[in-house]
Amino acid sequence: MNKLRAAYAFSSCAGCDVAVVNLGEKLLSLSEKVEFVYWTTATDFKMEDLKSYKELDLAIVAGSIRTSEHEELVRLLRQNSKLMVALGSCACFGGIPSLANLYDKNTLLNTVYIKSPSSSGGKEVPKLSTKLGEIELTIPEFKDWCDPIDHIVSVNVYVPGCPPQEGTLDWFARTIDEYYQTHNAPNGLILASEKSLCDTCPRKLPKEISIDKLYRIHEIKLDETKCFLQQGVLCQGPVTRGGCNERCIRANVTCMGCMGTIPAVKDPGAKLISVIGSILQSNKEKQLGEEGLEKIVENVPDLIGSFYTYSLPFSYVEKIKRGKSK
Amino acid sequence: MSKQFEPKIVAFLCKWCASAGADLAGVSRLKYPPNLVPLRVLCSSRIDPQFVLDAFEKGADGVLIGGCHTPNDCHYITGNFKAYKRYLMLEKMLEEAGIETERLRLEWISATEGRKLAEVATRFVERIQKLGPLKR
Repeated sequence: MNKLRAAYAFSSCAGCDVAVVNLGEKLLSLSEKVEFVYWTTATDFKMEDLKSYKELDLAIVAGSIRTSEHEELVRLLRQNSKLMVALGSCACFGGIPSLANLYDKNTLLNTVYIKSPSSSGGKEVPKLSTKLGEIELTIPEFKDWCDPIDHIVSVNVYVPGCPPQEGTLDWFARTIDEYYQTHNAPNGLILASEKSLCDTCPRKLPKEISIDKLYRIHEIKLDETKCFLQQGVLCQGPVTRGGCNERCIRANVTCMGCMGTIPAVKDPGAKLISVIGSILQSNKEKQLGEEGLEKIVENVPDLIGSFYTYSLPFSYVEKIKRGKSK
Repeated sequence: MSKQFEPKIVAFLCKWCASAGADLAGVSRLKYPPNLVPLRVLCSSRIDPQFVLDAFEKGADGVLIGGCHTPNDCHYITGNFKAYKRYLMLEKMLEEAGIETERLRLEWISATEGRKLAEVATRFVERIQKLGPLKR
């Protein structure tokens, strides 16, 4: 059987690349079946090389779509390949870079190139093309929105995680193996559990939760056996898919939602508002009254950043906002 | 003459107070604008913030939440407080996202306050008319 021809493109922090390389010996056994013809992080390839490969089997994309170059690359890969894989949370759901969607393009560019105290020199937003004598230099356009891949092209396999955990990557390797044997491309397969993280959480299940206020993780000393929500720290576990082996929880860090939202929940942030609404001061509501509750809710910090850490492009608020700019 | 903007407003009303108030407004033949689409829910704390955002996304220009008066009217003892906390956080989230918070309104309306419901509905429709349609 011929080897699968694979291209790996990225526009992210390269953490996903490291996670793949970290597979070690498993990667070697995978290399008997897969030949990488394009992987900019691993070896020197140019876009021209990629364009010359008309028939690819596997396209792996890590990172969200921020510039016109990313979009061009993803469209090219989709056109030429049979199995499109979104690797990592940015590619699957937009990830942390997509939190920039709270601001418009010009605000972002001005903040980075002009207003930020660390920017020195020209203090202007770079132009898309610059003439140097007779040579014209161009840079890709910064798009209006930061998108996950499936907003642009269809995706066959989603490999969530920031970066994907070893278990998820093993599952991914098995999926490639299956494709190698059968050549049946799955459609929209998500390599994560359908159930929420709380379902497999190693911490003790609390009977009843009532918290005084929502603490940030540095404000409080966390007990390693108690539920995070019980201790008054926001944990996205209730709305997030399991399957990550609870690595953050075991390291005494709250879940940030990198595995994506469970199918039963449409909008993680709205559902978390519901969760927090139930448990915040739930024993003392009548004593505090409306004014007391107002004061406590006022102090809940950075709602969107902490409720939609990885999945803003799928939220209702962004859908409403994006409609506005049409 | 240009036609006046007719907003679409979804009203989630709790069964025991606000919805009973709406019934009273009906049988008392009180008038209020027809832009309001009332939806009866068992308790105001049954209103998941997802419902509200879903309504906005699917075409509502405003959402009204009606529940029982605090502190002691709720049929389920503290449901209205839970709804209130969610409403406060949702309002904060809309503000952070840059969507007008005036489009969301929470009112306590008891079963005897048919007149208040009609008044709230009229004022809310006026407010949304001033704001114009929520562009999507």
